[in-house]
Amino acid sequence: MVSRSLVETLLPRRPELDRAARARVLSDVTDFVQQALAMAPWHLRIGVNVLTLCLTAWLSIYLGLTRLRAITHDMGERAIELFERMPNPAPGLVRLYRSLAMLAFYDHPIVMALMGIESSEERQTRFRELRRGLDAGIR
Amino acid sequence: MSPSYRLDGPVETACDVVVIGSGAGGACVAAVCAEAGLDVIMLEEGPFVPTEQKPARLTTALLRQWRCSGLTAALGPTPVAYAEGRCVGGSTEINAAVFQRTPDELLERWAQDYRIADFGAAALAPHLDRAARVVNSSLTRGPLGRASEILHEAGRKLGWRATPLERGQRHCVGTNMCAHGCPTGAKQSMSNTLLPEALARGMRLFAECRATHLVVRGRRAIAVEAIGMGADGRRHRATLRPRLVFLCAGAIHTPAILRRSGLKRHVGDTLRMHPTLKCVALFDKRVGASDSRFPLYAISEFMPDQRLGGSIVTPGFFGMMLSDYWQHRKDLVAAMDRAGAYYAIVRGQGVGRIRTLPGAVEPVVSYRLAPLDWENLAKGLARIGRAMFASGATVVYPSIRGHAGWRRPEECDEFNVRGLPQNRTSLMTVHLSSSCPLGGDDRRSATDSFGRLHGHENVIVGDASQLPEAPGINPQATVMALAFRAAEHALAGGHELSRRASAEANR
Repeated sequence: MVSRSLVETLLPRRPELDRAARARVLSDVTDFVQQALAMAPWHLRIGVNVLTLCLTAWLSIYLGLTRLRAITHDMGERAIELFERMPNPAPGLVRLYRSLAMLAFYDHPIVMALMGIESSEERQTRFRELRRGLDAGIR
Repeated sequence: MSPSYRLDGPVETACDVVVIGSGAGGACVAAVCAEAGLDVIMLEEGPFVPTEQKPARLTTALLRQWRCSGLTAALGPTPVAYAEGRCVGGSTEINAAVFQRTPDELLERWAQDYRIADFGAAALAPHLDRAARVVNSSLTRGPLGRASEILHEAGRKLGWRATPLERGQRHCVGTNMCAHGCPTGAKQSMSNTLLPEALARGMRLFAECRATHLVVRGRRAIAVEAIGMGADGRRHRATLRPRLVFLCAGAIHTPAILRRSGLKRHVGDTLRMHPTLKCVALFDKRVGASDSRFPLYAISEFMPDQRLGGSIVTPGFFGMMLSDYWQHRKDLVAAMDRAGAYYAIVRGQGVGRIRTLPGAVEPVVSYRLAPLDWENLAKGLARIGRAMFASGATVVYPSIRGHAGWRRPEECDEFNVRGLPQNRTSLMTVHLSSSCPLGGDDRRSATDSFGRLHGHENVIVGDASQLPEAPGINPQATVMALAFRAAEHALAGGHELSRRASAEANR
């Protein structure tokens, strides 16, 4: 149900990623958004799916029936921004997609490296070693 | 902790006790029953994730250990997102392990208002003491970081009481990965404390095995039906025939299981919570919230109705928090190092319901905030905003869609008079309770004073759903104390299993 193009439109432009990195990040973020939504309670999923159809229809109308993959980032962003201004639950849907996409984007090791942040994997390893050292000292 | 037990085909077995759920309540119940030498089977819907396999990435943790990957919400005029653990150890694996004893005056009032027998500060004290010992409730040593100092400093400058938070931890090294599941084992979650002890005493733990319903005949539950993931990767049915069933699946799923079993009287009608409203505060100087411990101070001046505190910040969580008004806040990502996430939490007076539908695993949860909750949230938000400015914040962005942020402390009172915009305010909670409350009056409680379901001999509730009201503090200590109390009472109070437990003890 979640299109890669929709997720791509929601992704931030910064930090700037080269083509290969962006493709990798986009793929991982889309996978996460899809998996997370697939695990959502059924009654939320139904609502999200119906509203996603509305969003897709809106994007198609706004973009003059342009195929989603052909739209530019700016056009897509603008279309989503306008959808977000509609009454509830439209903004709630965009917020949901955006929250999931942002979470996965900024949690991604490629993005974290570009932001100069230690990756979660490195952080976990560093602290496990620190803890082992402390344990050895305690003993 | 040894690996969990896996089904190798359909199972039908008898045992003394089935404990449904392995979180703070279930682990305490299991510990008491296993210590008494009883044959205990524990069912946990989620997987067992040992410390060395805790995921590094937040996204993996959400998919593996959080219920519905964190996408759970109580529906209502203003939806409230909530989070629960769904793994061995339950929410204790993904929470921050803050341990707060139930205030004595609250326990005394509950005893009186809800006519709870043998209840009150003195009666609960030994159970709270035991819970504190189990998790090694203690202050975290070493520098706490600027994110904590911000609350401490605000309290000092504004003349508000700011209290350091005790946590269930042992030599915490400050990974800031509490929500992933502690990668060093420092957090004293249930998988690091009571569950290994119960397993060593012979408890069988069926992980990835979901209790669907109880089979009830007259006044007794004669079986627990469950569906589990087998070692062969296929789902198998388990029919367990215990003499005693403890429901410890949390404030949402305990009532869901009971209602699916046809046990609906005062079950799932009185859900309470702590509605929480967050804000992002931007400072001139470095905060380094994503690189240090989450804020280990709370402004307790306005407790129990309001508490002001700080949240875990990781790059992923931070990005998510900015989604309320991305167009206006996206540039904050670059300033993440100078930002912190703080919140106002209120003791909700609103009431919610839990309802199941045939064939659906997840129940429908609804909740409506009371007018007083909105008032308290507006006051709490104004106070946390003022606290941030007192500590040097330059801008404070409340979690309200379309809000441009506050730049001066006076602006924080914006919603005190005209109220919060209910259709644009993002609420969340991690504290759910009271959906099967205990009490001496069976006209308004689901269970008796010790957790036994009214009208049923061998069905006992031992989790957050037992709290008569939202407690206004982190509920883990209260949940553990009530679970210890319920289990000890069941085994000592004339139940058929008590004779067996005594015999085991005397052997």
